[in-house]
Formats: sequence, C-alpha cells, structure tokens
Amino acid sequence: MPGKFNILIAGVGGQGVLTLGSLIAWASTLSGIDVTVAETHGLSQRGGSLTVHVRLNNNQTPLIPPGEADLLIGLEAIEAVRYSYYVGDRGILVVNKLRLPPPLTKPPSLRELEEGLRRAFPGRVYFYDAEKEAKQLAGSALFSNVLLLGYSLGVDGRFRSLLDPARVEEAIQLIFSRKTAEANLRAFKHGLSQGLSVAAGGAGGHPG
Amino acid sequence: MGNEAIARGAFEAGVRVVTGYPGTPSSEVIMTFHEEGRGLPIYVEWAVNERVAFEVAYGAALAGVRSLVTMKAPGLNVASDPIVSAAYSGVEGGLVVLVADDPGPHTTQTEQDSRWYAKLAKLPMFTASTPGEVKDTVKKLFKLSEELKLPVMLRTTTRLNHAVGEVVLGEVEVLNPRPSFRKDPPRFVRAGMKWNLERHIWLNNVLARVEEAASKLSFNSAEGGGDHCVVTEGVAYTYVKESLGWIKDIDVRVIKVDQIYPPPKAFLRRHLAECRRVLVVEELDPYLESEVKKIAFEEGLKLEVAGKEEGLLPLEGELNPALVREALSKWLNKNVGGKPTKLYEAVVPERPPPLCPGCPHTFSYLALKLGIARAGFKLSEVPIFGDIGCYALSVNKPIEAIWTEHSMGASISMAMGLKIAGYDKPVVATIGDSTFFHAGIPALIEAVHKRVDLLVLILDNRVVAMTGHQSTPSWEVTESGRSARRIEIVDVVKSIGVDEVVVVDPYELDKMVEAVSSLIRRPGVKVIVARHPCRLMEVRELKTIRKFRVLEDKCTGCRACVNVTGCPALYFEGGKVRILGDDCTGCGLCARFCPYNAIVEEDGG
Repeated sequence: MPGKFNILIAGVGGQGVLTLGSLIAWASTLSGIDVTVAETHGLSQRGGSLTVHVRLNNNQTPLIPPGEADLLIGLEAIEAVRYSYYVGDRGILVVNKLRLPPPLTKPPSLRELEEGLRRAFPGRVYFYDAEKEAKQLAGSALFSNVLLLGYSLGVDGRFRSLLDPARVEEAIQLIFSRKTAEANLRAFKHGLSQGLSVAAGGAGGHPG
Repeated sequence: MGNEAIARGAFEAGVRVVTGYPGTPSSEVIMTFHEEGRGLPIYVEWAVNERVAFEVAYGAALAGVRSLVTMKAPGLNVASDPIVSAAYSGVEGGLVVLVADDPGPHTTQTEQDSRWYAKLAKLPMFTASTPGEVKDTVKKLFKLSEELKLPVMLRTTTRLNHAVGEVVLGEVEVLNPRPSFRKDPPRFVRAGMKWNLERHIWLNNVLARVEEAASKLSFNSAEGGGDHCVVTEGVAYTYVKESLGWIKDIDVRVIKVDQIYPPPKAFLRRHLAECRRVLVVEELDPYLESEVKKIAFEEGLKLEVAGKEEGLLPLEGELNPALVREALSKWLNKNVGGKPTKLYEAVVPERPPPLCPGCPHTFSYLALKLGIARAGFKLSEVPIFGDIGCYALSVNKPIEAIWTEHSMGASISMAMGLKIAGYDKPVVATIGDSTFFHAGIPALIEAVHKRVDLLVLILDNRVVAMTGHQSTPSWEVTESGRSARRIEIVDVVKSIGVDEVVVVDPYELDKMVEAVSSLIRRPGVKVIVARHPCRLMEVRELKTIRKFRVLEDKCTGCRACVNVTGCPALYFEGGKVRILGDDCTGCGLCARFCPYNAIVEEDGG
C-alpha cells in the first residue's frame, strides 16, 4: 500500500507517550492520511511500561506486527530496548538518552543499552538527549516527547515525506492549550532542526 | 478513539440517559460525554455499580427514552440479573448495553468472552471492527432496539475501544421524547409464572425476526470470492484484511459477521454454501466457529472448518496481525507476508505497574504491615484480602501486601469465610471507597450480622482512581455539574453497626500503625477508614508541594528508601539515590525511612 508506515512509541507512564500518539494522529488526519492508533493502557496511572502503535495508511488495522515498525520512538532507553523486536529490517530507532530503572532492579547502564541497540541495528539508531534539550529550552522534561517527534521527522526522510512537519505544528496548536502550545511548538521545531542537521551529516549525531 | 465514537453515535441517535460504572476499556464513553456534552439535555452519570446502572437505563427505556449503559466484562456479571429479566419485559425506547471485553488480558481479571451472555440472556448482540464503523453501529442499534422492543448489546474488545481512527460525523436525530409509562403487569411483573411463560414465547418470536430487521439496517457483509472462506468479526476483521493484502494468487472470500446473537443464519447459509474450506478468525472463545459448524451440520454442507478448536489460533490471549498471518499461512499452506524477520530480543528488567509517587495506599499498606507486626503477629500468618482497584498493585514488590484480589467487594466476604472456617489468627480485608460502595456494603452487613472477628480497612481516596478519576457517591458535584448529596462512608459503616470505626489519614503513618495494632486484637468487626485523596488529584489542587533533595555525602546507597516505599520517583545512579523532580509529589515517605537522614526537605519548599 502506498505510504504505509508503522511507528511504535515506547516509554513509561507519565512521560507523555499517549499524548505523542494523539499528536501524530491529529497531524496525520490534517494531512489526509488514514491513521490508526492503539494504546496499551497499563493498570497504573504512573510508572508502568507503555506502548502506542501508530499506523499510517493501513486500513484501520490497529496493531503493528513484530518486526514491521518503520520507526521506533523510545522516550526511555530500557523501554526502547524492550520493544525493539518490533523494529523492521529498514526501521529506524530514535531513543531518548534517558534511563529510568524500574524500582528495585539493576538494569544495564545507558551505555550498554545504547551499544546493544547499535550492534543490533547498525546505522539505524539515533540517541538524542531530549531530556536535556527540553530542560534547556522550556525548563521541563515534559517537552521531551515533542522534541523526539521533531527529531524523528528530521532524521527519517521517509517519515518526513509522508508527514509534513507543518501539519504537526498545526496539530500542536489544535490539541494543546495556548500556553503549552507555544512551548511545544518551540520544542518541536528545535528537535526538527537538530534532526535535519544530523541527517545532513551535521555535527554530533552520526548514527552508529 | 472507539469509545469516543460510541459516545458520538449515541449522541447522534438522540440518547437521553447514559450511565455505567467505570471499567477499562469501557470508561471513555461516559468520560467523553462529560468532557464534550456539557449543557446537553442528557443525563450522564456514573452509577454506584453496573446492575444499578443497567436498571436506571432500563427504567428510562421503559419510558420510551433512548438510553445507553456501559461496562467492562466483569461488570456484565454484576448486571446480569436484571439484564436476563429485561429480555422478557423488553423496552419502549432504544436501550443499548455496551460491554467491553479485554482479550490479552490487559486490565481485567479474566478473559471473559461476553458473547456467551447474549445467548444466555437471549438478547441480540452486535459488534463492529473500527471506530468509524462503531459510531454508525450504535445509531443502528438504537433503531433496532426500538423495532424489536428489546435491549440490544454491543460487544467490543480493547482494540476497538482504545483504537484511534477516522470517524465521519453524522446528523443528530431530534426526537423530543415524551416520557410515559403504561401499566402492563403481564409484561413488567415477573412474579406471574404464566406471564413469564408467555413472555418467553414472545421473546423467542422476536429473536426469530432479528436477522431480517438487522439486514434492513445493513449489518454483516461478504467480499471476495472462491471457495476458501474466512469468517471473522470485530477487530479480527482488520487483521484478516491486512493479512490478505499480502496474497495475490488465491481468491479468499471474507465473511464479516456483525450480528453475534442470534447468529445471522440466512446470511451465513448463503455464503457458506459457496465455500469448501473455512477458517474462523475471532477473539477469545471459538464462539463463531461453533455456530459455523452447527450451520454446516444443519445444512449438510461439506465444509472443512478450522479455527481455534483445530489449534490454528490460540484459545488464550489477544489476536494480532502476526498471529492471524501465521494462521492463514498454515491454512493456505503458503507463506503469507514478507520474509520472516530476525527479531532483536534483549533482556531488560520487567517494569510492573507501581503505585504512584505519594500514593496514600502505599502509606496505608505500610501502616497495616507495621501495625500487624507491632501487635505481635507474623506477617505470614495474617492474611490480607485485597479488592479491585489501584491498591491491588500493592501485591508487587516491595509492599507485597495483599494475598487475594478476586472480584468487586469480595475482600470482606472472603475474609469472613476464612474466619468462620476456623482460621485462628486475625484476618484483614482491604477495600477502596468506590469498591466498597459498589459491592462491599452487603458484605460488611453480612460480617457484622454474623459477628465475625474481622479488621476492615477502607482505603478512601475519594475517587475511582485506576480508571481515570471518576466520581464516587462521596462527591457533592459530579462530572456533569449535577449537584449531588454526599454519602459518607463513615456514616454508612456506623449505621450498619460495626463494633468500632476509626478514621485516620494514612499520611499520619504512626497514628495509623497505632490504630491497626490496637484494633486487630479486638473482637468484632472493626473498620479503619484511611482517608487521603488520590495524590495525583491532590497535587493538581495544591499550590505548592514539598520538595526534597538528596544529601550526597550522607547517602550510602543502602536503598532503604526504595526497598521500603518502591516509589517510582526514586532511582539510583552512581551508587546514590536520586529523585525524579517531575515525578516526586513531595510526600516525604522516602525521607522518613532513610536511616542516614540523607533525604531532606529543601528550604522554603
């Protein structure tokens, strides 16, 4: 099917995983793309493992089969690794440089997680410190999700050819209140320009 | 979202009464009305439980008013008594009963397949595949319900309720109903056995008309040709369609069944007669599969039917496109889909859902365990019965409090059962406020009346937290803005005549430990109402919250803070504990349990 594209968003409850899913859904709808979003609601309000399946031009079929995601957006590194079996042969991973160890566990370090992914998906993994950028830009890590979406659109030409970043900006104004829309818009544009410069071979983010 | 589409469909159908009890994945239907429907002439309220919800909606439907009632699968069990009787008495206004099943299961105690209920209750049941479709399905079901004069059930699964997709809005019907109710004892009084027999005959006659009435509203469809047929329904239809997109050289007929009960026999007969091999693809039990086999038998069709009973699809868990593709590959004996991808598998620690930072339930269960110990009992000898709600997450490390979680309200009655069986150590039941209102009250009456020795802990956070902060009977204004009379748990408990009742704030941990340790030894039914608002809700209303920081030179990395509280706002980096500033709600529990006073409140925080 033309323009079929699967995005898996993985993260921890409270990080804005669901919000990111609905942002992409609105932007896709504004672009006239047939979009389906399926969220895996956990039991808890905060802190559980969470994924959202976003499928573009896929006849309203809600779930992505393992190995068929074109893009994985990881809001947290452990969750990105946990769900990386969804990534397909050509799929790209954009992962927040953030590790939130589940309480009472001793998970691998951020470096180990990153190296594991780079070995498994050579040349297709982008680690991006959205947490740091969000705090610098807007004073809160809450904007990491939108930064990661901007960055993903920047580095992933195929995604960008389907979803015009301008539609995302419209969607941001549609779904956020005026005050947070401004900060989200700034964050999105910032992530996008950093992603674009990395894709153009700019400094600092060559995929491994 | 599918649930928003269901709400929209009911709105377009001119619904006037909407009620239900919160339960994932059904809750957002009513929440949508609350968010978008302010000022509309529609009664939209959460009920105390599902059976009351159904009865309220049913009473409205008797008056000729269109009504909708929503619930998750176990809620249908609660509502089943009035629902089964309603099939005999029928309705005047359209009544749609939404039941949301949860294959997976993602958030439900069982993988109950509620399609069997339609058969049991003898009520028509329908389903849909996408958010766009389900909106129109709801509208059609209101019409159908009125034509048949029967309540009609809409059965969905999580992937429909929580899937987001395109929905095309339609016109809103203007009905201006004039509520009326005509006295008709043979129809509405189920005390007359002769009448009941007559109504049963009436019901069976109506059921025989369902397919014809439904076909006028265009339910059920078939596409493609050939003698290889896939019979499917609900969300599974979308998986089938996607999978067949990979096949070019075999013609496969897809028979989509929207009418679950009674099965659309004429439709199925017509299409199955063209088939030689049939694969049935459906969520949960092989329900359609057995219907297809039955029709094949009755019609003498030479059909090779395969599905779950033949092991092509699993009997447990949720379907997904990959499983359906695999089943099709086996069935067609060819590889459906691209080449198999080698998947990257990495082992990372599980992330079980925790209690939120600052959750009062964390305080309550810690106080309960400390109180049991202070009273001189071993934790391994005092069973703590749990109930349905966020606090069931206390089963996880490090709290590991509850021994059971069964069904709404069962904590109290099961604890009582253990006690009267002769268990000679204290027994504790723990139950949330909304769950207590829902089904705990009759259980408490039972325990008080029979004079059982029992400690009951009512975890009163003033809200149905787990499903997204819905109202309880303790609210003075509901989500719709309706002015309501506050029902106080303490008043209810006292009026039942419990031997002792104590109200504590679990944030005052020492007081609560004291209450537990003194009450647990005494005879009779003792109730502790642990009252503190859900922290997530409370933090939204507080202007400032306390801020804590870690004194790096004092933190030894002993992990006592995390090992006691399990707080997800704490993590370790470089051998020291750190606090996730955005997640911390300033409850101070970690600071209290730090043996080195390494976690301190920030000045002026």
